[in-house]
Amino acid sequence: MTKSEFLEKLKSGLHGLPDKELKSSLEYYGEMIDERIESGLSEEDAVAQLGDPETVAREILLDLPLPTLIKQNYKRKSPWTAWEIVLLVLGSPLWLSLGLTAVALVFTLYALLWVVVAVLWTVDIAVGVAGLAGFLSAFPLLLSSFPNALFNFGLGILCAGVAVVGFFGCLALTKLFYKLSIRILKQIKSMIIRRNQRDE
Amino acid sequence: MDIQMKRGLLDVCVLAAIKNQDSYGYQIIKDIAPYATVSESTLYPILRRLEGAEMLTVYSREHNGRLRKYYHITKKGKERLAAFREEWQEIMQIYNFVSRQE
Repeated sequence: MTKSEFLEKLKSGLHGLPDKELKSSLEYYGEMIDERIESGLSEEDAVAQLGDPETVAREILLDLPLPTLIKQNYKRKSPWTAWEIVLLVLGSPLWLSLGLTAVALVFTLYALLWVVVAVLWTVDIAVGVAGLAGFLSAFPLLLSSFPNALFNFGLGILCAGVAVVGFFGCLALTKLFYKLSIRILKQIKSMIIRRNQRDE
Repeated sequence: MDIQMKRGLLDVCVLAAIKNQDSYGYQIIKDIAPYATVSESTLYPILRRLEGAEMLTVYSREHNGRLRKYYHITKKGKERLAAFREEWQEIMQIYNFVSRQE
């Protein structure tokens, strides 16, 4: 593949990107090819070292923030016509409410995940506090009723133990959900990119 | 290595590669290569990100009849490097403790 073929493919892979971003990407990869040629490589080899342009384009797109990516992919090719605007306004009670519901639903499901994490943390802290309270409450009982004091001691230590184990469980779960969030974001980005490539 | 961690480390590597004198993309990759693997497509978003964070500035200069982009470290970039060295002082202490001989 020649340099211009590579850049042409990269350009079509980045189709729809803001001009500034597009120009900067093309300049960067063009420069990288030139540098390699200058250091003694043939044009063919220099281009080959960069990998295939589709992958390069995909990586650039994946690195964009989600709003930019959406704007790029859903940009209209022609301006709105009067009829489209009229229909859009008339239909707004329908599409607006449906759209909002969909967004709210997705958001709720996601928030629900984190609510589960928050609840587990709360329970864990509550058990820990209960353990401490049980432990401390045993001291005044020592004088009046020894078996009761012993019982409170035991219960307190048990709760504390459960809380410590729970702490690590909660921590692991929080980390897992955080990683999952990043994965989901990446997935959404890939879906948008794939959709765009299919359309062309 | 953890991806997030590597990302952060490469940011500082790039800043370190331009801290003494301005450099260009290919040279940065070659300078980092003995210490960490970094490809063109990894470097590109890092440079963009550092530029966005105002840790470096970009300018073009003519070279062999074409334009070559040079990267210049800013005050903010130097501060980031200094902060990194301080953070790692602590991490190195922990490392020494963990890997000390029995």
